[in-house]
Amino acid sequence: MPILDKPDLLDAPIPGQALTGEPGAYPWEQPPQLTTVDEAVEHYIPMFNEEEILSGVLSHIEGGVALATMADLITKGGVMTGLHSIDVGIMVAPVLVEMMITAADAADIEYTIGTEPKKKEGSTKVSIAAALRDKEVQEEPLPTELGQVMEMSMDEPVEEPVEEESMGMMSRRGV
Amino acid sequence: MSKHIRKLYTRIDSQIKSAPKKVPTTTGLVGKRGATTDEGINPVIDYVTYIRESRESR
Repeated sequence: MPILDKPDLLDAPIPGQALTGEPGAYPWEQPPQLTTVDEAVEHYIPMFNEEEILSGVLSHIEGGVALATMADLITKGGVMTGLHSIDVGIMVAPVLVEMMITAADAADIEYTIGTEPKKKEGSTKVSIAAALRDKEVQEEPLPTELGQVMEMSMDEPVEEPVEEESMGMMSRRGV
Repeated sequence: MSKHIRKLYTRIDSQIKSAPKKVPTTTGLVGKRGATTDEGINPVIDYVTYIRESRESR
């Protein structure tokens, strides 16, 4: 992991290097082929009728990949091949999510959309340790002396603090 | 981009759920019959609603 944490800065591209390439060299630098959401939907929907693609999508859904992530990958592929712009990709993604829900329902596969609220207790070591600590703090009884003092203090009436008369120069003297 | 998709889907989902059910005025997916402008028409919501309704009617 140290290699990933500290990339070799001498091998990194210099600032502005991306602008030195020839414009239009990549598909996503060309004008998009599909410019509207309708055109993009017409392109993507028939994909779900192809058995090969559908089985791949369903196997990923079964594996636990969120549908929003799948839609993101599909639309990013479209952007990379110059099919449509990023904007159209984002707009068409909910339609893809809905189509995948339909496909998963039809195949009787459980799925996660990716918009579900996160669980409070995670599976990381830190969250488990924090949950255990909270549980110990709640269950720990008070020490006997401290507990007696606390009980006594609960029984005693609370004394209200008496306000002291101010003795400043502007204060009113007692009549 | 995934974050934006999640936000957009949540927004569309809540918009569809909060909207009152109306009788479809057209046979197509998008647009109103005789409408002069496309004001107030959101094709994404129309598509999602259509897919959802067709799934539920199965």
